[in-house]
Amino acid sequence: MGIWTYFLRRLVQVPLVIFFVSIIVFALMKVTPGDPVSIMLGPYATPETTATLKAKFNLDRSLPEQYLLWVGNLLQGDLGASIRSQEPVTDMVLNRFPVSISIALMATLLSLLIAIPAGVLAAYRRNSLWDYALMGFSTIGLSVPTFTLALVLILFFALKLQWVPIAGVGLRTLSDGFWPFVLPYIIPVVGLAVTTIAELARIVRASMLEVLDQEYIRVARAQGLGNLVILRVHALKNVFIPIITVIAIIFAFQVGNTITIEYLFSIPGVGSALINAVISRDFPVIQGLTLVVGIFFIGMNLLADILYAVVDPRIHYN
Amino acid sequence: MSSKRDFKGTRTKSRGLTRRTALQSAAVGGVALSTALPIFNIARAQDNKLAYAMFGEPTGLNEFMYTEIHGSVVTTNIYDKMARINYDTHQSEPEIVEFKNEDPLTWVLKVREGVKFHKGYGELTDEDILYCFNHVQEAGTFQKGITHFPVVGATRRSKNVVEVKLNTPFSAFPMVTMGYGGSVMCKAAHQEMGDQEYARNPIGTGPFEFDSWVSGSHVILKKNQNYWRENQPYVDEVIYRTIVDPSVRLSSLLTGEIDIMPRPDPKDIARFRDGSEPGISYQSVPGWNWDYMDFTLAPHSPADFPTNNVDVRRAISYAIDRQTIVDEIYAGEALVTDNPVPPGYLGHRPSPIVYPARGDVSKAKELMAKAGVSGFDLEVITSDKEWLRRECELVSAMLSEIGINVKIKGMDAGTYGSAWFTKQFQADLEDITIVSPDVDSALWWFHHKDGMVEHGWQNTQVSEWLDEGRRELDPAKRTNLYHNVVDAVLDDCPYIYFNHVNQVYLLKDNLDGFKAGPQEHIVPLGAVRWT
Repeated sequence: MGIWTYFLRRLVQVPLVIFFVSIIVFALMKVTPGDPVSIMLGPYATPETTATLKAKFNLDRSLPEQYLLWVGNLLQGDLGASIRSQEPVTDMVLNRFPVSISIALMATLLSLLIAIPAGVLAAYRRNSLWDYALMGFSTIGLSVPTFTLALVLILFFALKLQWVPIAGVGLRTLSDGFWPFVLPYIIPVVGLAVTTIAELARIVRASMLEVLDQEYIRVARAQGLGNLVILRVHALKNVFIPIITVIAIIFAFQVGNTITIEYLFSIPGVGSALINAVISRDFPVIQGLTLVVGIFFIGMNLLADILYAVVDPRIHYN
Repeated sequence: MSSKRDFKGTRTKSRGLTRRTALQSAAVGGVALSTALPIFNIARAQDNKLAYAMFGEPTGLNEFMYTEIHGSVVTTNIYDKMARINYDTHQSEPEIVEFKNEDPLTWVLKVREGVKFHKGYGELTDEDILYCFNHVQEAGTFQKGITHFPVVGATRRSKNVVEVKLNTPFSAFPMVTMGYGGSVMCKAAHQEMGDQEYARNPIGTGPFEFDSWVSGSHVILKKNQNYWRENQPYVDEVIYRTIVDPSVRLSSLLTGEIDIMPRPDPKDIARFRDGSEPGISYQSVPGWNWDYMDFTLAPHSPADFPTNNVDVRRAISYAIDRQTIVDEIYAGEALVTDNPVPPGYLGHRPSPIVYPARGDVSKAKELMAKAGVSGFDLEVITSDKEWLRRECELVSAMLSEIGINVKIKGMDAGTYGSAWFTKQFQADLEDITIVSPDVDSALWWFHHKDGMVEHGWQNTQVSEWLDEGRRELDPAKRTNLYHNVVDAVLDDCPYIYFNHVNQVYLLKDNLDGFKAGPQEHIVPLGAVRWT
């Protein structure tokens, strides 16, 4: 079976996965206690007002009816509207998803830029001070929660050094100037990237150490090639195979990880919208956003599988 | 060129990144970054702009659709009310209507002249006032049952004069109906846009007009150039930024990213209170709110459950050291009380009235013995407010002294709301804000048998006093009625009140005209200016 056949087969499975995701999301929301209309109207609401609003959002219907109505609208491209703000969920996705994606993308790129050279260097200078320092950083990076790390970054870089603003993503556009636009991203992106840098650097180091122990590296050295040539031409290519395949997954997880960061830094992304929606039991928003994030994860997984086959010719999907 | 060791330990020469070039690059990068620093800390004072930090995202900006803190913080400055509460006198004052009570069932409103709606929607007329009264009734907005319940209808008496007929005398009409429920929207704009669009693009007559809203980030209001109050507003633009976390909010104030912030973490307040933080001033006023504990009573809980015994409830109230809660949870930014009438309200008496501020554990133990209860498990629910969870822990320690084993059940707002509305709890510890300075707002909804009474307390005599208090226009007679209500509540303890929490704001000390109010959803900014 060729890669395209495999790709098509996976593509066919996608609607099935999405269907199950939608069932799970819908069921989870309905079994969780909490009534969006009561929360929205507050304690003073009259029963008549509550009943009117419940009918408006079909919350007075049976669960299967509610699900079928939602799926019916979904098939017509309508994700529904927020019960609280009446904002169409499609608009929320279009406005907020790019923000989350851009932060996740920046964090992923920053992670790659730092983790790959750092991991290579640590392997290249195995058991050196650099190697120990990287491994120490990596242990700390993996252990410290993003939330805590973000607060430490705020303390040093925003409060003490006053190099960057604390919040403000979404406050300015590029037309306000490059720096005013970019600076608010720095702390959130760094906060998000640290864990990934730590994780990725370990993968790169381990992968590089494995490659450097291969026979073809010894052969290259026996041929009198310089260390940099060996690294650049022979070692790095093979080190990149596992890295490239995990990039898509890391990127997808970064989108998930932005929830904490978005909440803390008041970033108008999908994560902060989801938290607000969960608190207020805004079912259409939770269902719509979770579904979109789910589809994004499925897409990234598919991409990882394809990349794996593309970068490593030894892989066959038989 | 430098000398390095390779992975086999051999010393080699390379032209790669050296320590010196790395340091040079870092220095250049640092300088480049530092040149960009002033950019984020825009000097809003020079630009005559103001940045206010909200601790949550508004839901919508249509006051006839939503009632929540963050939206109200913004809409206070977009919409005018028919009457505005004067926090100093605790009285309602005319805002965009003059009003008089011709007879107990008739209120006559005269529209202020020269008031213009934002964005060219013309002058405010009696048609807009009538439209608002009718809209509440026809659309069944939340005001209908809360603020407009005595309103039979509104009619035009003459040009810009409106007559409102009530079905019963309502002493709190100016404060509750025309104050809390008296927002004025533009008939033409609302008919043109509809509810949903109006919530995202509101038209009012207030000091600022809506400019833009980026969901999850900020709302921008611009100065209303035609505002009817002379010289107001003073600033050209207000940016409401959503910053949920209190430590991030405070850091943003200290770095100059925002100018006013509500609700600092109590542990941070001391350094601002004693003036040790230059450039930042502090305002604190007693809030119109309470922290309280209540219980589901029979038939909503088993008749033999200990909290159905009034002596057990009294014992709990005696066991609470309210002063410690004020000191430990709120860093002194709260007032001890044991009843629901805050200072300044009609019928307020020096508090606590019955239960000592420091508690009385011996008395509590006596009452437990009298009730024949030696100890029991009590599940207490609370919402996701961090300070209430800590308060719950403190109360748990206090109640353990009389043998009550408290199990705290912290819930997110959605789950908590569900448990609260359906009476699915044993005890509840929460806070609530009172919507108007009329004592009716502090008592009726929480103690009348037809009010919210999530605990299920049904006291017919108290309900009659409360109804009479609404109809009665004589303050002295009302005072007596409300004293009766409070005494009954203190005696029967369906609610146990702890404190009124102050509204605390931190702001730049070169801001003038900001006045902290006792309601956190009302933050007028029209009189605020840079000095």
